[in-house]
Amino acid sequence: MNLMGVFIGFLIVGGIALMFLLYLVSLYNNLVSLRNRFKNAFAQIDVQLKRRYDLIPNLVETAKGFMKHERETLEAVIQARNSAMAAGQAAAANPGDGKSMENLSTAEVALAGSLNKFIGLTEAYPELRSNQNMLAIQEELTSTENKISFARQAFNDAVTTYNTACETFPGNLVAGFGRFENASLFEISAPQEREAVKVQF
Amino acid sequence: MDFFDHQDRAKRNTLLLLCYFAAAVVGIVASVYCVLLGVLVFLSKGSEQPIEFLDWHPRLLGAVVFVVPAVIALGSLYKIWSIGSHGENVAIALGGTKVPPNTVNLDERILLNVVEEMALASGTPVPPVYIMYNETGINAFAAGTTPQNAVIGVTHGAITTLSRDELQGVIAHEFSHILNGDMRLNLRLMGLLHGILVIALIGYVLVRLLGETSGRSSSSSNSDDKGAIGIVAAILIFGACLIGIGYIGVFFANMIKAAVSRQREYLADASAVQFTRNPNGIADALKRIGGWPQHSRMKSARSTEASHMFFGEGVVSYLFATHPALPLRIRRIDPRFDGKFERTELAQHTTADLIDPRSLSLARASFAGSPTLTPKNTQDNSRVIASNKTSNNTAYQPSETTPVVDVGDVHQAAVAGANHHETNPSDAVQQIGEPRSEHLVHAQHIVDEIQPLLVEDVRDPLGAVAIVYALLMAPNDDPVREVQIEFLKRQNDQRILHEFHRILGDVDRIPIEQRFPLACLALPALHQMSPAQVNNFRLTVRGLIEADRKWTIFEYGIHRFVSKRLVKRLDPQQAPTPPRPSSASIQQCVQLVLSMIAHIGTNNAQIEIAFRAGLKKIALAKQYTSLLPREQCTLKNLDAALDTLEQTNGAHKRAMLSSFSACIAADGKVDVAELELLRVISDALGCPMPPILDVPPLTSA
Repeated sequence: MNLMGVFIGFLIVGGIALMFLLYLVSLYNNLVSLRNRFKNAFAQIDVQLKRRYDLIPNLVETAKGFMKHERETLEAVIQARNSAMAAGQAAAANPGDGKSMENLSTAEVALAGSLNKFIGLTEAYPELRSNQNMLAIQEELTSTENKISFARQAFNDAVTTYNTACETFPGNLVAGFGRFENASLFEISAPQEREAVKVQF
Repeated sequence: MDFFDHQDRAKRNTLLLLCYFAAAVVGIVASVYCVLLGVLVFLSKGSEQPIEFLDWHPRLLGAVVFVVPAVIALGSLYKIWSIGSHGENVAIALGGTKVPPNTVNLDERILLNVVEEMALASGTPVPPVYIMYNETGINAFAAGTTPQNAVIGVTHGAITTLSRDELQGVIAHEFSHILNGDMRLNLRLMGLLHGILVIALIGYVLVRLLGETSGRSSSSSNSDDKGAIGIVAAILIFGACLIGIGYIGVFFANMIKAAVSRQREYLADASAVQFTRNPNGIADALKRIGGWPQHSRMKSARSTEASHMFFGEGVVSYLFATHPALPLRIRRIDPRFDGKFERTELAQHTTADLIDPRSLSLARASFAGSPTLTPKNTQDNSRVIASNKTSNNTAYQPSETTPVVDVGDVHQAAVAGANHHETNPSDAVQQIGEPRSEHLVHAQHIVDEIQPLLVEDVRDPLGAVAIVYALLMAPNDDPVREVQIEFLKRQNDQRILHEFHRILGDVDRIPIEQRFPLACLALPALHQMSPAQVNNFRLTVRGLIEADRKWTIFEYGIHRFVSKRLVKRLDPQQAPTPPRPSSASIQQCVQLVLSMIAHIGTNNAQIEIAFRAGLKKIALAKQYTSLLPREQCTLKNLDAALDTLEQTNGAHKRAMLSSFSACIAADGKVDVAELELLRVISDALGCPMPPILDVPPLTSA
């Protein structure tokens, strides 16, 4: 009868150990699904980014006929678009990776800057301003940019949830063991927004 | 067999399976007991109190009977809980990537269109679609336990080799898994199998641990404590026997699982033919699997445990095949099949595949039968052509000219087909869960009808949010609209407002009966939002609805979706399952819903008549057969009643829905409010309803 007690003790201890093991496994699985969730969230941004990269050449093409003397600006826009597109592809291959997200942010800021400059220049061309095609593309561009920022917010939320799960106890134990690295947010801060406004008299 | 019979049958199968499983557990308990006793007999040999094998050992038996089932139950529950009821988790675990609803890739777009058509036609919410890019075999799966949390996954091999018709057959097969509740059954099977496996795992751990420690201790110290060695040896034997018992148990459980799974596959194949009315689609898809070098094989390591969910056999095994052999499946659909597979080539999709070519020929046939339609054709034609062109130009670069005129034909013919169809609202219940080919054409027709620009916006989260807001707006000349727009400005940021104003005009123009379908199309994109965005969305929707201090059925439907499904999906662990309702509370709820339908759909004189018509179809106790006064028929009460009725079984649901539609049909006409109410109810009951074909005598409520 004493032996039986040993066996039952064994089963109980084994059961507790098993449950602990299962708990660790579930923590691990949770991290995996959170990681996949933010990767999927990036796919949403990617679709809209591509859409915008497709729109920009159309915009430039339309403007070319009217803005003959602004070739440099137009080329700068195309240049910025191409480098942003390359950075976008690199980021899509590995969303959340610190370096590629930073590259994408920089490229996006540059693109936004050159686009702003370009839009500002169009103010000087009333014919271009009233061109139907131009208006349609600009409207589409604004809408796509809105969609990008909405999708970016969802992506950043997903990344934050994942990072929090990685950093808090007991997730950090599993994260260290399973090599879950912190992901980077996708932030675009337009430089002119951050700078203090200089007032000159 | 209709939807409910399928569901009931699935439940009967589960019961039978549970009987088999209980037998297996009894067998396992008995064998663990015998082994344990044998070990104890062996150990007690030569001591003062030898244990006899044939004696009665109530305490040992009691312990085994308690511990073994507890271990199995824990293992099963853990597995079920860790897979989660969520299809998304399964899809992600299998290496799937979610297809963005607004993708511009041609193959992905075609896939999404096919899924959307089937979902709209069957009235289920459009499930998210995952593609497994690493899998080159031709395969697909459906996962999730209810139509609300289901997902559909397709391998990359499938989208590159299958034609549109074949893909439709495959997707229809998966939809029938969703509708028949097979996924819940599968989930339980997986859990139970894992529970038995845990027995073997415990044995393995015992052997492993003791093997190591005893090996180390015997080499480090030469103490020959015979008693300790005896115990260690006994535990080792016990562990080894546990492994044996566990694996034998898993073996038989696997056979049970495979047998059930094979039956479900036949059922799903048959349902796919029934849904698409096109035996060739699914038969050809099966033949292509036979002719493709990788067949339907899956590479993902996780696919073994999910093997029963796939369209084709994912893992090669003969004894435990979860799917019947390909030739057997094909012969059930196409008896003339000679068993020879032709080599499968890659399919070349063109932009023409974006619309359903079969609805084209089918619709053309019905068009040929109704020559009277010609007068209004030209106008429709040009509009559809125009819409077709726009969508081509914005989304894809057409590689060749699309059969534009044919698209026009579909459109006219769908109208023609609709006009041909007899209106009988009580047919509605027959149609639930049984989309027919006419529904497919109708679904395509609805998608065509909605402004092409809106259809693009609705596939993107921001656009979908804006469209739902626009749908909730009061009519244009109503002062309430000002209040609502003010509220929107406070609640949301600039980009949502911008989208909202951009699409508001288009949304205002869509006919009243298309509001619900448009909202349904928005659902998959809404799931892309983050929890913070969902929360803001939920608050805004509530605010917009309450701006005029009253709730319409449409608003209620939208709100129920947002508060129940969208929130539940984000946080699946939060939702507790309510207890099974008593018969009395079910009857009380039915009484309430019936009274509500009667009040909404008819004028004073006929309320009682409509209510009685509904009563005829369902047996209620005496105290529940009186019509409730209007004051009691509030949406709040309805909401609680639907929560209760959701927990009832298939037979009850069938009786309820036929009673509800009889009540609606009592006055011989169906108006939009009634239709929306019926849709909300059937959706809440988990019995998706296809759009009722043509509702000519539309009277606004």
